[in-house]
Amino acid sequence: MDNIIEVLNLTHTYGADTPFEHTAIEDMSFEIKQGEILGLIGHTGSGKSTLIQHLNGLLKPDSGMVKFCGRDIWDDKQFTREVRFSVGLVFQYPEYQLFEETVERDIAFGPTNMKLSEDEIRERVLYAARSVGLDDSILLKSPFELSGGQKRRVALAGVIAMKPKVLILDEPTAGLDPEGREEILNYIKNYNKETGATIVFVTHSMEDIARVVDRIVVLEKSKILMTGTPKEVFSRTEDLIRAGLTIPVAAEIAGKLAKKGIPVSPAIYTIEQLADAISTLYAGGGKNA
Amino acid sequence: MILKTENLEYSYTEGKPTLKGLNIEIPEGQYVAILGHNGSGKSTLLKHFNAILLPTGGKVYVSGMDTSNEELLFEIRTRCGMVFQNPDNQIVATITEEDVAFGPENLGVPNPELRARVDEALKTVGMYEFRSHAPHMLSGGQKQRIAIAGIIAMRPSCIALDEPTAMLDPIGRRDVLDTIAKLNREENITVLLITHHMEEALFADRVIVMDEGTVALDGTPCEIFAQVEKMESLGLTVPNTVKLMHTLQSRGLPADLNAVTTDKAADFIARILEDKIG
Amino acid sequence: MLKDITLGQFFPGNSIIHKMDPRLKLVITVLYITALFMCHGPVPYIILGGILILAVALSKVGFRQVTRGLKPILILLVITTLFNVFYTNGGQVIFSWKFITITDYGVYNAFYMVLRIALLIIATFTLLTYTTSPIMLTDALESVLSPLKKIKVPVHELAMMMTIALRFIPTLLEETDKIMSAQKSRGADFESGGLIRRAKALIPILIPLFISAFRRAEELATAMECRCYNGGEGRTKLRVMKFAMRDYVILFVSLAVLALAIYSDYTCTFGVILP
Repeated sequence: MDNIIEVLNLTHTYGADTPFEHTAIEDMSFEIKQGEILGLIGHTGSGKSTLIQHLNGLLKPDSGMVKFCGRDIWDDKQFTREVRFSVGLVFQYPEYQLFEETVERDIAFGPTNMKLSEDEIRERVLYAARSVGLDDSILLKSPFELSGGQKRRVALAGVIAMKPKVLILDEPTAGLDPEGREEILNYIKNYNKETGATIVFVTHSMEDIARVVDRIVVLEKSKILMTGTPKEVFSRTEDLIRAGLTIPVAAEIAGKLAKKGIPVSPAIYTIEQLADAISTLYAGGGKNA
Repeated sequence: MILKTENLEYSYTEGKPTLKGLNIEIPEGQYVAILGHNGSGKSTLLKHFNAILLPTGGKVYVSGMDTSNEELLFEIRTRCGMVFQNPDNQIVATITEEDVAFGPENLGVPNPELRARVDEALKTVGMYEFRSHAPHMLSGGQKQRIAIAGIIAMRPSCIALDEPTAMLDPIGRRDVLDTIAKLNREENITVLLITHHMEEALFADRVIVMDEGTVALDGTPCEIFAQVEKMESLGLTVPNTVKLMHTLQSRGLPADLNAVTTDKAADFIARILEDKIG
Repeated sequence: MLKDITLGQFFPGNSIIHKMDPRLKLVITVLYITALFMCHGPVPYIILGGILILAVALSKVGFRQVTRGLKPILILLVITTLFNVFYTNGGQVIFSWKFITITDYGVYNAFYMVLRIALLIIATFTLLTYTTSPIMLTDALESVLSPLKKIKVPVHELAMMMTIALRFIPTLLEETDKIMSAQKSRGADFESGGLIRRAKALIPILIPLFISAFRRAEELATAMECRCYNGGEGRTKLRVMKFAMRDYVILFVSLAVLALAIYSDYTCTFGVILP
């Protein structure tokens, strides 16, 4: 797989030379692969928000570089603007950024800024709305009449309408009820499957996304703590807990069983995997799993 | 009964009732979690317990006081305090301790009792050392604990929390839940907690599940979460520990749907495996 | 970033200036500013400057913070200087080129005007915003203005509004930052185009910001109601303002120094007479 985004020795400091000086990212390097679903996980203040704002050129690195498709995103002005559209960023509680009179016009904001033709904009609005399960009949309503879950999806559609190659979502399920959480995750997975776009989930809770992601980058105090597949990452539960993160319940139980001398793999992180392991042990009289 | 509703009905718009004749009784000292999908009427119910909303039908009693009796308004609000989802939007003052003092100040509590109440409330939620900080410099979980301190400084017998953990990170969430549990355990304060995270309901004595303005389920966490299909049909889930037991059960293994914490679940699984080995 | 604005910031501390009764600080600041505008010559300014330097030193906020506070008004100082230098008539001409004439009198005026503004700003900063928590300042205002309640001025309500405004400024600034980033991510452009285009570009920021402010106001009002807020009637206060012995001493010393400054202004003007 090719790398669609490369982060090289990135450093960013806020309020340099004031008493409030704070280094949010320190000498960070990692890559995001074309088409993968990546989990970017870290506790509040680990530098997540600052990092993602570098990925679409909202913030400029103090030192180091962010490359999109092999090219420095600050190479020239035109390219920086292109990256803004190619790397879609959905902030936390994106429904608070809705402003247009109708849902349709709000979703069209991004494509309009891209200076696309009327037809193309219309086509993209419909596509984006459908891809998050919004009915066409909702398009002419005011976004402020909708329910919380619907608003969230309108805001998500507003970014999807730009057809970004990389879609970055900061806590996309925060504050939703269980059904709403599940729906949002499914729409995003579908977008990945249908378009081959790269997805980055930014979160401090792993329970929801553990089953969805291909790879995880864990941040701690402005630096990368570890990178790997969910299996690799969740087998280091103690490091994760120390970094202020919660781990999936399945991984937690597996860890407790291992401590009791029961031979379960430390790489377990979903309920299904754990149930499988227990069933095997149970059937095989506890010898091997 | 500290809280009681009699055929409680409420409609924001006429003809579309949000609450449809609720009869709920909550004894003093109980820790109650209220679950339900968005729009099921949870928050509307909660707002009746300190007379922010008044019933359009039926009655609500707080410690026997009818909430529609305007003369008892402050008495009722002092008895049952309320904490909301967004910590930023319920902190009034620019200094932590001043904010905690806001409620008792409104009640006209004089010094030195006022000072004593504020200090005690801050210590109870573990935020005493932050008493002279500006709230906007604190984390979400810390702000939420300040909001809780602001309520307990009014010396309530009941505290109603509307999704207090929804906007918090895992550490903030844990701190807030620990604080709530401590208030219930040590101060015998009745707790009503609305949450979308099923795991958080495991700490409660009782779970009430709401659906379309009615009580769909009412029981202990174990009783409620054992009904996996029913919960899913109500747009909810069950904690992952229960899900695990349910999966084991469907595969014909022994399962204990009461083992709702990770410790209990691990103990149980270890036991069945050891029994099998002999 | 918007968050970096330090103007009006409070630096918690335990100095004698921090401990002064906020009402006293308010009154002394007003008197000090009055004195600044009454005095002209070097002697009174040496006195007024001297006491301010002493106050800054006592406050332990640090001279760097104080001069930092002057930065935002630098442009104002420059304009004041130019205005006074070029537009003051009278006095002896010291420089003349085409239509530009500079007189000693203009330079003199410019110098004192800048000094006056700088001292005024430093005084309000050290005595008030840097060393007094906003809530104490509001309390002090409420207390000092409380006689106005008799003529039906809603002093408590105004003070409460001020407290809430102060409380929500950082929150709303942070929110503005967030909304701007979000709209930029959707390609909003705030930097190019003419005045009208730029004004139009603000709509995607202002509308969400207003909606959010209203939502916050509503939630806050509910939360305040829940905590039995019912206006100023019958409210007690956690922090009771009390004039300590120290405050009387400070008041006496300050009055003496200010009186001395004004007196010296009348007796020795060093030959320059001002209108």
